[in-house]
Amino acid sequence: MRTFRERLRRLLKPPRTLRFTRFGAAFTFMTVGMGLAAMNTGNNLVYLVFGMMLGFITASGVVSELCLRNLEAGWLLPAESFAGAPAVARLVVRNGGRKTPSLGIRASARAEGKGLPGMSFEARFILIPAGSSSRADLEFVPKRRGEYALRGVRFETEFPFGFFVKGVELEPGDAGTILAYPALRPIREPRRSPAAGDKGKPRHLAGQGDSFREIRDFFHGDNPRHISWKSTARFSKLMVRETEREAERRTLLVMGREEDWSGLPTDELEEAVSFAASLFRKRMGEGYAAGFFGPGIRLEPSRAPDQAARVLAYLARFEPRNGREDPDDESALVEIGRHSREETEDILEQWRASR
Amino acid sequence: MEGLAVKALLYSVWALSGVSLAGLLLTREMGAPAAACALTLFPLFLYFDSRGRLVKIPRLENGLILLFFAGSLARFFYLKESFLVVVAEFLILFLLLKCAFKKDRKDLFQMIVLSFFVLLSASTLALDFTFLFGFAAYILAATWTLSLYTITDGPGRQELGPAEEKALFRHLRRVSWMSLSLALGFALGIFIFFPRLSLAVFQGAVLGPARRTGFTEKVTLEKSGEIFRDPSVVMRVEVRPAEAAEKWGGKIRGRALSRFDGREWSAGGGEPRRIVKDAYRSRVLKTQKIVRYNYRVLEPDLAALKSELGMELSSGSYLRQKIYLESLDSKAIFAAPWAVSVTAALPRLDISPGLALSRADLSGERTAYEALSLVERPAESRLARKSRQDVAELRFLDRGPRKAASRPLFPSVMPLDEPETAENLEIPDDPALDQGMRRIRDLAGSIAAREDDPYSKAKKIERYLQVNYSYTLDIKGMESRNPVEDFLFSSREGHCEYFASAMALMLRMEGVPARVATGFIVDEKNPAGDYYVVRSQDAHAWVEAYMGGMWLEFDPTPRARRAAGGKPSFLGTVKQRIEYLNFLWNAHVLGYDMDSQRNFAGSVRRGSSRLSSNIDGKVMRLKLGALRAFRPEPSRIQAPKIPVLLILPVLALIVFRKYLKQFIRYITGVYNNRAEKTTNFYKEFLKIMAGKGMAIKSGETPKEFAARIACMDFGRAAGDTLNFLTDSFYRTRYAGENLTEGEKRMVISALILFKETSGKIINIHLK
Repeated sequence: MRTFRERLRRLLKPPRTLRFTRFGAAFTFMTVGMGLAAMNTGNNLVYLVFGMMLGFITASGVVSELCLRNLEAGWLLPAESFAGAPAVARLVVRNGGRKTPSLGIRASARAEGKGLPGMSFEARFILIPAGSSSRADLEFVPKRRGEYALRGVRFETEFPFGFFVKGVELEPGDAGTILAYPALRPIREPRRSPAAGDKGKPRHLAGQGDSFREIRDFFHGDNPRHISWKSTARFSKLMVRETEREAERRTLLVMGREEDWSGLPTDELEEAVSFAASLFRKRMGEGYAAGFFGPGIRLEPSRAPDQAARVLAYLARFEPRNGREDPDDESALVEIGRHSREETEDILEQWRASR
Repeated sequence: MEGLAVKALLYSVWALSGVSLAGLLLTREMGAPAAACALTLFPLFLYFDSRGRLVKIPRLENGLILLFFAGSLARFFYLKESFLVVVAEFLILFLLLKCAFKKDRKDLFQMIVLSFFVLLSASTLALDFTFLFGFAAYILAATWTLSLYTITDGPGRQELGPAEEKALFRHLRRVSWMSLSLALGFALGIFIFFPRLSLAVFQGAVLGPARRTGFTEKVTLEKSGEIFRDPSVVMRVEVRPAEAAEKWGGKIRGRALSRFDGREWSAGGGEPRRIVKDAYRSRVLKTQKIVRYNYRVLEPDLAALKSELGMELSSGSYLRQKIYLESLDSKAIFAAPWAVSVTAALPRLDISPGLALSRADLSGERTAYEALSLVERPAESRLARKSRQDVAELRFLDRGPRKAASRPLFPSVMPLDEPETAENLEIPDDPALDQGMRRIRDLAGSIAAREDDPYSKAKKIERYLQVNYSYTLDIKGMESRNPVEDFLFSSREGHCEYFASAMALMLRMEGVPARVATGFIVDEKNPAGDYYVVRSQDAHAWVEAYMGGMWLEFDPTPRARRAAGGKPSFLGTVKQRIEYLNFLWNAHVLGYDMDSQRNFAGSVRRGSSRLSSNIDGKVMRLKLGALRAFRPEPSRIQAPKIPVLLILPVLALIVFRKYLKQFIRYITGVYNNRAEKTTNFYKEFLKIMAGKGMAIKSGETPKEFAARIACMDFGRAAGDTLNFLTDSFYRTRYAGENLTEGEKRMVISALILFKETSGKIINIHLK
């Protein structure tokens, strides 16, 4: 809730923009003409019409102000978005007023990133009742990977009469960012791919896997999806199907030196980054516990659900710079050395080979 | 939603067009063809449009528009019809044309614009209060229509459910009513306070239609069959005081006609006296400032009237008339006979030798003015004596130069000089009429004795005609070369023009200067407004004869007076009330001018000064009372008096302290019922969860509820947020803590999360 001083300040100087529509400009011009005609002819009924037109202009201002007064906006951003692929962001507009609805609202926003082509969002709301919210799902396609900062949302309305377009821009604040991951592409691998049937070896321990281990009683905390209903019916109590944990297959994707990347031309750099992202996703999808080493990032192989997100986020922001020395280069090499050669994959090498 | 809103827009545009057309038709200025077209075609096209049977043929539509436009131009330039009526009828046809074809958004917008111009056209033509209803209805319809038009504009609109559609239309209605009150408020404010300057830069460019009345600048005696009695109102007259009104004969004079050729009376020669009261402000633009001026028409010599005719004039001798004149096809300024002065917003007044008043502005538009007339007449005996005295001194034209009969009683009027005397004694000099004129002369001689004084002659002739001839408006028979002869000796019936012509002619033959005066006779009073209504059918002609230094009125027409007394029927009463409303409309709305504004401002000022003096008086008494309370009275031992001025503020503080606190709290945003307000978010959360099928159970605490749903997939995805909400509730509800601004924002974002999420949310931000 705003303090009293903030409210007073806002009351005295509401931040609004106003511009005429064509119809509004013509109407205002006609109003002035009507006033002159009334003065010239002395016809009192023309004075009435003149007053009516002024009243319309005033009502337009009052009603449009009431529509815009208590609007708030929030974003629900997609979990993932990739360059070149459509994604949907949800704009939620809330009318914080207690009595007055907002009608004919046009909401627009822009997302911009440093050196990135901007993205525009626009949605129209016919009615946002007082104390309620409305939402609009807005599709967007980030042209390039990177971080797009959402600017403040701008609300405009021509309601009620279409004379003026009155607008208000909400303070950007922490509106949020859209992180566009590198584009994913199908990749051709010159190197190994998992042979058919080459699955992880079971370890005779309970865990995630395909091999059956046992049927046992249901305990509190077990996933209800693992309930075996046939056994439950047979034994008249809840039973779950337990599987054996399989040994993880591991791989470590290595980016190499930053200067190797910075030397690439822009389009090749993007292609290479896309390749890195696609390869990592592929490895995760194949069931590998994948790790990622690169300038400023060290992720040990893991099958954690957020592993891919961390790597993709890194790659989305990756901007190699010439001459930058990673002080941890040496220790990185040592850590890489701990992994077997079979587990390590050089991204650049694979990319070049795949071209 | 799309279909419903667009349909609503279509019907509201129809309604708007209908209202504006109705407003224009109610002015009753439209020709029969245009009105008939509107009344028959409009509902027909509406019916077909509602059935979706209209088609779009752009070329035909555009061709017809051009045709109508060309026709309107021809009517204005070649047929010289009234500009405003031509424009209004063109707008009607244009609007009907738009109604006749299938409409897209552009056509609907054009209809909205056209309906505005139709209303504007109605405002220039409307003469009665029915315009107000159309005006208010138009504002309501226009706000509704424009609102619908705006919100149905543009792609990508949200979908609304049935409940939201209902809410939308409910809110649109509220907006319409609010806009109506604002528009009416502004209209009233502008109407009352906007200064009436009447710049008249383009005066004469735009004129309205003028009514045809029974009053004419000439009187032509012709057999035209039955004369239609036109009940349209020509003017409304308020008269004061009642004493003068009783002396008044009910005549409103317009013209004095001196020249007679045997068939037609027309105004005499002689240059009118011009009184010019304005000056051009700018020679380039010729702007004029129109204000009220008092024009002196007649200057009665009061001493002479008293000495020669024994007239003692008082305030009851003068009749004050406030005349509200409709738009006529005449420039005459009407007033009761012997008009002493006229106060009007006119730049110039022309006064003919016959004392006929004319305005010099270009249009015969409606106007309101005041006239002061001398209605006191001398006693008949004094008149007879005076006129006999004058006869002895009068010389007829053929006996040589005339000597002024007597001291003129109205020195501001040029004394009846020789040319004027000759003109008012002139008998038509047509050999074909000689025989008839001789008969008329003989008849005049038989009615009035030679030795009679002019006044007695006039009275005898007047009486003779009233008794022996009958009144009719249906003049039958063939045209006669000498209509007066035919009236007097053959038909023996006619209307007022015949009676007046006959008497004037006979008086001239008896050597008494006489002329025919035309105007109106008034006897219809509207009791609701205490004013007289003058209609076209009340046009009248009478005789003015010059005797005793003045022109006296004689009315030889037998008049059938309305039955005095008797209660009017219900319909009659309703008509009177409607007529009164029209009068108020004319007087206070159409006639609202700068003087009205000054009067209004003056009355407000007087009222406010009266109010402030009342307050001052009361405060003074209070102060004096307080002073007296302090004044020591040493002769008596008194109980100490607490000053009144100290008690009142203390009392006020005690009484209003409670309201003062509430007021301060309201201003600073501190609410009394904090507990309820600050935990509303949890109620909202429970509502959202219930909507997802996870309702809190009866007797379940918030922590238990949170633990229960934490086991579910949904709870696992948003476990932290759930805990945060629950903790916040406990802190605010039971620990009396306030959430920080950041925490409040997180609460709101959490609620949105629960409402919108499907479980895959990464982040959420608020402004």
